[in-house]
Parts: sequence; C-alpha cells; structure tokens
Amino acid sequence: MQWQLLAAQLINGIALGSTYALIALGYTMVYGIIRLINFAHGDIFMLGAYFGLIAISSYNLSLIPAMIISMCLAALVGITLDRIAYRPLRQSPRITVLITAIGASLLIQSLAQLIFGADYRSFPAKAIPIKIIRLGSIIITNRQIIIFGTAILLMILLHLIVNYTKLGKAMRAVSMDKEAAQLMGINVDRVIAFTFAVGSALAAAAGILVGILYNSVDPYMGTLPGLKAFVAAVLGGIGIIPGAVFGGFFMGIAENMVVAFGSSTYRDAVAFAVLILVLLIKPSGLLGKRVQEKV
Amino acid sequence: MELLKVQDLDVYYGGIHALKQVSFTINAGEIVTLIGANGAGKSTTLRAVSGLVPTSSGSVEFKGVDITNMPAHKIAGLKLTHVPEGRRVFANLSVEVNLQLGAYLRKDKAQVQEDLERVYTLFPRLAERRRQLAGSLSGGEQQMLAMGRGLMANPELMLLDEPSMGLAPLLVREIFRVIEEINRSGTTILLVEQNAKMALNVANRAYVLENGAVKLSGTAAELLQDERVRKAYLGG
Repeated sequence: MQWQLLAAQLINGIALGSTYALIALGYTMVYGIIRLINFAHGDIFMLGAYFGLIAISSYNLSLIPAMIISMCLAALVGITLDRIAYRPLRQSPRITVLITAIGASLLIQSLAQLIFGADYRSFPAKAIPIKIIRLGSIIITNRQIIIFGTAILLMILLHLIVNYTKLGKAMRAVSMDKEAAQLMGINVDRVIAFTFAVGSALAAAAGILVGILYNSVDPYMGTLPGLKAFVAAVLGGIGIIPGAVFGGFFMGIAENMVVAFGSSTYRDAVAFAVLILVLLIKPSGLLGKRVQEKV
Repeated sequence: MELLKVQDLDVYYGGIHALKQVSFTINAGEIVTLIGANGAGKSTTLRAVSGLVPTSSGSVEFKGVDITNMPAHKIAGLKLTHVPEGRRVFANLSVEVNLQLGAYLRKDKAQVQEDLERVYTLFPRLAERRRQLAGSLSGGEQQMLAMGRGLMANPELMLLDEPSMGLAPLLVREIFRVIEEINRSGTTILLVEQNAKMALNVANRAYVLENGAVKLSGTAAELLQDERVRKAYLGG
C-alpha cells in the first residue's frame, strides 16, 4: 500500500504545487521588474478567492466566468496597489518599499475582514461536484485535474504573452534596463502596471483554485500560501519565470511528501527549511545564475 | 533649418552643477560633435536632451517643439533617438528582438521590416547573429546592435554617446564609416567622443565642453587647426 500512498500524495502535491507556481509567478515577475518582494501578493490571492466565491455563490456564475471576472478585478487591485502605494516610492530605498508592502498586506487583510467578515466561507458544493476517477488503484478527483489543467493553461498563456507580444517584450526589456527601455519609447510605468495586473490575475486564479481544493476561504488565507510561494520563487531563482514554476511544483510536492513520510504537523515547516537551505547553499536559486558584483 | 536648439541649460546632478548655461544648435543634416575631457558634461548634455536627467533651467527645442523635461519615452517618440554610452543592449534578448524594440513605437510595419533589412545590410555581422542573445556578442558587435537598434526608430536626430569606446582601431574606423553613412542617408547626428580627432574628421561643427560649460565652438576644420584644441584634445 505504501506506493499508493506515495502516488496519492504526489498527485496532491502536483495539484497544490500548481497553485503555488501561479502565485510564485506574480512574486517573481514583480521582483524582476522593480526588485520588490510584494508582500501584499498573497492578499491579492485571497481577494481573488473572495471575488470568485461571490461570483459563484451570489451571482450563480459557473467556474470559468467567475474566474475570469475575479482575475480582472484582481488585476485592477494590483494596478491600484502599485499606483498608490509603490509608484510614489520608485526613487526611494528598497527597504522603504518593502515596509510599505508589508503595510499594504495588513491593510488588505483588515479591509477584507471588514467587508467579507472573519468567518470561513466555502464554495457551494454544486459549483464543482466531486467526481472520482480511478486509475487502477490510484484515485484522482476531478478537482485536482481542474486545478492542474487551469494552472498549466494559464502558464502557457503567460509564456506566450511574455515572449511573443509587444508588451511582453517591453516587460523583459524593462526588467533588464529601465533607462534603455525608456529610450526605446517604452512607458516604464505602464509596463510595471501591466506586470502587476498579470501577476495579480494569476494570483486570483490560484485563490479560486485553492478555495476549491480546501473548500475554505477566509481573510487570512493568503498569508501561508503567499509565504510558501515566495519561497518557491526564491528556490527557482527570484526574477526567473520558469524558476517560479519549478519552485511551485517542488514546494507542493515536498509538502505532501512530508505528510506522506513524516507527519502532517511539519507540512508548513518544510517551506522554511527549504528557504534556509536555498539561502545557505545557492542564494541565487536553482535556476539562477551567479550575479557578478560590478566594481 | 535648426533641428535642435539648446539654450542656457543648467543641470544639477546630486549636488554637482553638471551643466552650466550650455547652449548649442544643430541644423538638419549636420554631424555635430561635443568634445571634452572626462566629466566635462558631454554625456549629461545628451541625457538632458533625451529626457533621462531633469534640467533645472534653460530649454531644449526639437523641430520647434519645447521638449524640456518631457518624459524620455515621449521624446523617443518624436524621432529623437539616444544611443547611450556603454551600448546598453538588452543582454538576455536576441539580436532581432533588440532591433524590434528599437521600433517599439512605430506602426508602419512594412517600413519597419525594410529598416530591419537596412540595418542588416549596414551591419552584416548582426544578420549572422540575429538569433543570438545580445549579451553573447563582442563589444564591437554590441555597439553595432546599439546603433542598429537606434536606427530602427527611423530617427531624424541621433545622439551617439562614445560609440568607439573600448573598441580596437579597426572597429573604430568601421563605426565612424557607418556614422557617416547614417548621416548621408538623412539622419542628423550629435556625436559625443573622447576620440576628438576622429570625431572632428567626420563632423561639420563642434563644441568644446569644459567643466560643464561650452568653452569653444566652430566648424570642425577650424577646431582641428585651433592651438588650444590641438594641445588639450588632439595630443599636441
């Protein structure tokens, strides 16, 4: 029976990891472009879950339109956050912006508690009825497949946007050299806003997917997945898009392996053990290049 | 016709008075060069014109339009292109994507494609390496890419900052040959160079900057004969 447990936890890990990967993408994109760890990112993930929940339970929308609406609203929140909290500090020391991000995180959590209430809420069961799929003796639920499939689809979409659209290319140019990008006629502030929009939309999708996975939504649900996704981004090499995807899956699988072979007590500790190990052994992340300090 | 008119420009750079009442003009079709020692304010002048550094007083007019303190990305849209010091190519993007980004604001797709071919004809080395990452190019190739990227904007005025810096003599001559060719095809050029001799040989007129102020100006031929210029910048 041991290998079936292993397979089951591996599947759980892949489903959970795909949501971490979606969140980690936002962290890493924003870091890549303005060198900021946006600590409010996990809270946008939480808002995304609420937007989806409300769209499904109050407006009777089905999953896909609810997700699209939630992603659009979260994108607006992300743009607003950048516009009012971060953009005025563009020339400030990084620590100032970092502290602002922590403040923004607390503010969004408190506002969410004020507006949505502190209670746990859940998606109506009819939103996605559970179906069980048996592959031999391995059990997969349709929810796991939806989560994994949606995440992969969004990642492919992001890959196409970043590599093949004009704005995506501008985004990469800005992340490499802001001044040179301006000389090309690229409006740097607009590209940064676009980055926040895309990252926030991905986080919102992850929020709905996690809400479905655990069937629970609350104002503080963003904290732990946010931290774990942050570790995932660091693990893959912060600022590197494929690194975030790799890190996300790694974290999800590692967490579930700890549950399978150790104790579920330590499932959250694994994230921080990984963080410490990465920072000790390869601070630039597994896919990161060593940055040479220029003298 | 005056294409660029800079009047009494003052720039402060972190407490330093970097430009003091700098005035100069560039007529359409010319090559004008700014020469001067390290720290004389040559690069700062270009950066003030292209909007990368704020000016505290004075004015910059391009094609009769006041562009003083306009955001850099808007100035780029007026066909005033700045090829910055140190090439500043996008290292992790391919040569071709770098060139496409040069044409970021242009809507005339067919013309952009033609200009891309033109850049590849001007710099055959870039055509050979179009799929390579810009960061993998040699210094000379990166300079060609930086200039090619600037040309992709189809500029009326091109600001060139130290295009020959750090290049082998053979490449320096190649770069200067291309500068003349770009100018012949209708682009006006403001050239900043440490290599004053080469610069004066291709330029129509020149301004000499010292400690952030214009000390001398005249036609390139005059300055090549000027005793002070010969002593200070041309090695006697």
